[in-house]
Amino acid sequence: MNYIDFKSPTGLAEARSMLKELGDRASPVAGSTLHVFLRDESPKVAVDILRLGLSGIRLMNGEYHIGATTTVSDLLEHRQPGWVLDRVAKAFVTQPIRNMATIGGSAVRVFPWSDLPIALLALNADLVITGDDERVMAAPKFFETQPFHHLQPGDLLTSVRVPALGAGQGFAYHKDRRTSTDFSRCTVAAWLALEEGRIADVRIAVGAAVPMPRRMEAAEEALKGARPGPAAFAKAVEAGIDTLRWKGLHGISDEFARHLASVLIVDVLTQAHEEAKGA
Amino acid sequence: MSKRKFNVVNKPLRKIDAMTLALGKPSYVGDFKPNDALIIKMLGSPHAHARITSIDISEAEKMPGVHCVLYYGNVPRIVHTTAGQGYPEPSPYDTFMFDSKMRFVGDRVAAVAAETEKIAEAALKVIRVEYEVLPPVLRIQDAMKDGAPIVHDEPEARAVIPVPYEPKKNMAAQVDMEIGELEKGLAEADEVVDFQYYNHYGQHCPIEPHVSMAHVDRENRIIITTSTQVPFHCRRIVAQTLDIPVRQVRVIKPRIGGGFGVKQEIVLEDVVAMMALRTKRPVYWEYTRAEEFVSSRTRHPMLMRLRMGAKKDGTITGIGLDCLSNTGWNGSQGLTVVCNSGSKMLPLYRCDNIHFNGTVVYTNLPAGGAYRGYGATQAAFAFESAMDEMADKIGMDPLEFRSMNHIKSGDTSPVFRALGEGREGVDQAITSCELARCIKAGAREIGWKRRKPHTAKKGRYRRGMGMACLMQGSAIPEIDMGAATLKMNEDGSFNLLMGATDLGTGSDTVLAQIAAEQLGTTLDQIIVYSSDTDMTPFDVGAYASSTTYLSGQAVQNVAQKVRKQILKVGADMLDCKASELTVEDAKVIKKQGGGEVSFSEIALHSMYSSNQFQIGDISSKIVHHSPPPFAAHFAEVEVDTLTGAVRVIKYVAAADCGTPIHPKLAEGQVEGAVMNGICYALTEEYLFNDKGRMLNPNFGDYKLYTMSDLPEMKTILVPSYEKTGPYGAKSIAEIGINGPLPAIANAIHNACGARIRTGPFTAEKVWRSLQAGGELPFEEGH
Repeated sequence: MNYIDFKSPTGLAEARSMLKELGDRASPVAGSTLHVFLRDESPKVAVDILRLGLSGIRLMNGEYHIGATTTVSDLLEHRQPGWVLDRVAKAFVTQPIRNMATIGGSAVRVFPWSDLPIALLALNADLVITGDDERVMAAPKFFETQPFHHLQPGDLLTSVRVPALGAGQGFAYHKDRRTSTDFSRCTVAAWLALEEGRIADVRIAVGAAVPMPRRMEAAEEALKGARPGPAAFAKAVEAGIDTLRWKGLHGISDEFARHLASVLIVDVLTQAHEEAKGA
Repeated sequence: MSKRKFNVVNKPLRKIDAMTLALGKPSYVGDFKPNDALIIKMLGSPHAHARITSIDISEAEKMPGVHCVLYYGNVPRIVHTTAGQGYPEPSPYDTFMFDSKMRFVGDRVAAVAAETEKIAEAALKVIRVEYEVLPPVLRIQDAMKDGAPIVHDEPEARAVIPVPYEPKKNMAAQVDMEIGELEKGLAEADEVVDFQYYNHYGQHCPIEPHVSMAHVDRENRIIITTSTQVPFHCRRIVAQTLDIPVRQVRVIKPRIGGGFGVKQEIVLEDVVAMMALRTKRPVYWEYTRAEEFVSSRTRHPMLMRLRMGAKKDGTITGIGLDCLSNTGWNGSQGLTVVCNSGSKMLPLYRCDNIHFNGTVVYTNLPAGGAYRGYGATQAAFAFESAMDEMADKIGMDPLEFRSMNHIKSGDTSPVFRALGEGREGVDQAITSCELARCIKAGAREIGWKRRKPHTAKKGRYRRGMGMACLMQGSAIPEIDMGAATLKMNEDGSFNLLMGATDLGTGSDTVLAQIAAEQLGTTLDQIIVYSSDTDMTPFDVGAYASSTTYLSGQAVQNVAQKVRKQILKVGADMLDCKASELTVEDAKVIKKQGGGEVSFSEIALHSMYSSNQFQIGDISSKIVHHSPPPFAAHFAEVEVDTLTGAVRVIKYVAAADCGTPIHPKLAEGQVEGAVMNGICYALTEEYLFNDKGRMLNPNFGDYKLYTMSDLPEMKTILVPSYEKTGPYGAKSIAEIGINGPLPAIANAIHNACGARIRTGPFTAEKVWRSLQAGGELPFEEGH
């Protein structure tokens, strides 16, 4: 990135006004951890969005409202009933990066190895964009394309809403990597709800081994109403695995990426089921 | 076992540079970069094999802020080797400062020195180059095929010592040795194993990449400050490459931020020297991480065939090891690395029939070089994997099989004479070997008695144990030389000037301990200066596990001489014979009591009072033996049989390094080497495209372990006393890296039955092997 100026607004309205005025020349900056991966060399004005009061985690009506500039460290340290993003934050590279990276930045620009989008898909999060109006986008729509394309000049992702895990529900997340600081080769997450011993609802999301994070809807459909267990999970994976295009990263073949995903999805479904049972 | 009690050696004292480094005081080359230094950047070849048909540097030269552009058309064309080895070098002369022929992706096209990095990079972009692209050689097995593209077709390429060298066949070196008759040995065997193994590319990954700077002083001498393991070889090779006298070059080595062998090579210094000479300005060149991966040096990948015959009772009847080594675009260290593959592993087990062939081939890939383990790492993988495969065949516990065959104190091996470093070796008997105790201690620590065959294991996650025995050497006998100067100061302290090169190992501390022990003083009284070719005496440098054993003996010798001088002055002052005196606590005392003088009083007396002279001396040492350190390594792993993922649960390294002069540093060497070896075995991997371009030259994609990946590790130092070494010491720095590859391969097999013979042991390889019933068709990797 080629920054030629730095602006530090102290309120949302001021920031939005600056971003609107600067248009393409503006680059909103929070933790800056992704900027090293951006190849845009055109001159940019960095607009610091850390002082807009967009940090913090609040539980309202069974839903966590997470400010966009809340750091991943804060996600890791937060403890409240039904809070699950600490499990995702734990896998988020190293503490120095967690201290800087924000949930908003991780959601707005998706890389093959991104952690949070997969969890947000599985949790069916809502993403709140503040522009001239406030818009709420569901995760599947938000991650359909590179999310920054949803943002017009002056728009900011201001918060992320994640349902708290309730009784009879379970969530699991797994990131496959070679070392603790590695990019993911395959990331999977599953959320499921049980009713009378059957799967009432389920969401499966995958990333890294596919071009963009995606839900595996065919597998979800195969599981709805089914009795959970290894056989049902394996059958669901079989139904869904070839609905996505698998791409091996970091020296692994496409075939192995597909295989890895099929094993790991069963793993996270099993863990989510255990949690939902209250085990 | 240690034969005596020590005051300074064999103690974990504070490293003499610990506080300086911990406080971040200026220590490394980059810390001393002058504000007005020009920055050097290099244009690399986009092609693995090509000839430059035209090059235009005029636009770059005209760019404001650019001071010099070097390319093959404006520098001397002097063939040389980049290998920092003794003269005449065993590596072929096959390199030029710049050439019109490109031999790997990243090869030097042109260098720019400019006021800023940005200007230098902009200048590189306006250099116009046209290439005739040639077909590349990208696989070891293709290099010597009829009609293969020739990497070194220039007439100047030659070997400087009498060894086989046929560049027209892409053969950079060859060595062949037979003791007894291998075929006869295999015929006598009840069982024979015959497998191929492949050691992959790996990089040293020093945190400080290659970095050098230079300026020209008022006498027109070139002063190079550089991160090097070989300051004296650097001086000689730079002078040769620039066609200037050695006296015109001074090389200063400050602290080094890691070397592991990669800085036993002249990679930047020729260009910084030439730039300084041309511009008369200080110049500075630091490799990027991508350049460090591609353009510095790597571990030589090797394709190995290991044949072994044994009787049912465990007697080994024949061993054959054929190593086809990929030296990449230049032949640096190629011959000696492959010689070490034979000489550092073949003597480990008693056998009358041994055949060894090492053939080194050129390819259009990154160049191999010196890397911790230096050929022994490669051979240990094949050898120690095959030991397990044979133990399985004859139905013996692999530990028992190794225990009954390994070399012991008093033994010798014909291999020692047959295989040296690029020439015939030296006869030697093993005078210190505690390998049996290493095996015992390591087995106890890992819980070897719990080990069960893989067929007895069930479930998705399966654990297994593997082991490996290892040996290395301590310096290169009859070749390498070290020297030290010691002089006494008025306060009883000493300046110890050494050419020996501390590359982060703590050898300055270790050598100061040896001096202090011999002089009867304390560590804080030794002021170490190393190394500076104008100021310190010659030393070959830090390589071949030589510093403690070789340079340590030079230090011990010079300290003995100085001690004698001190006693002589003391005798004069105390009016007695020197034989009645000894040194203790920085004093000369009468053995029988009744008189003492401090070192300070002695120094003042010799400088100012009577029979005035500088107490001090110089001593050189060449060694006649290379006593091997020994080690037994044990790994316990867990394999996820569904994904193939391998996790090291525990790693035990038991090592015999003689007397550890500084036990904590010795343990640190083992731990560092083992960590280095574990991630080499599991995660480190060069990925190339089909044009020979490395795809992952960065720490994001080329994965090293960090401390958070560290498995439970236990290092056990099993002391012996090597009578030829300083205070009984042998080497320790390299041997530790040789164990993880075979120990983990054997542990994976013990866990789940998958036998992986190509590194690294990725999850996909293990999974595919399990899908194939434990064995995959052999494939050459990268």
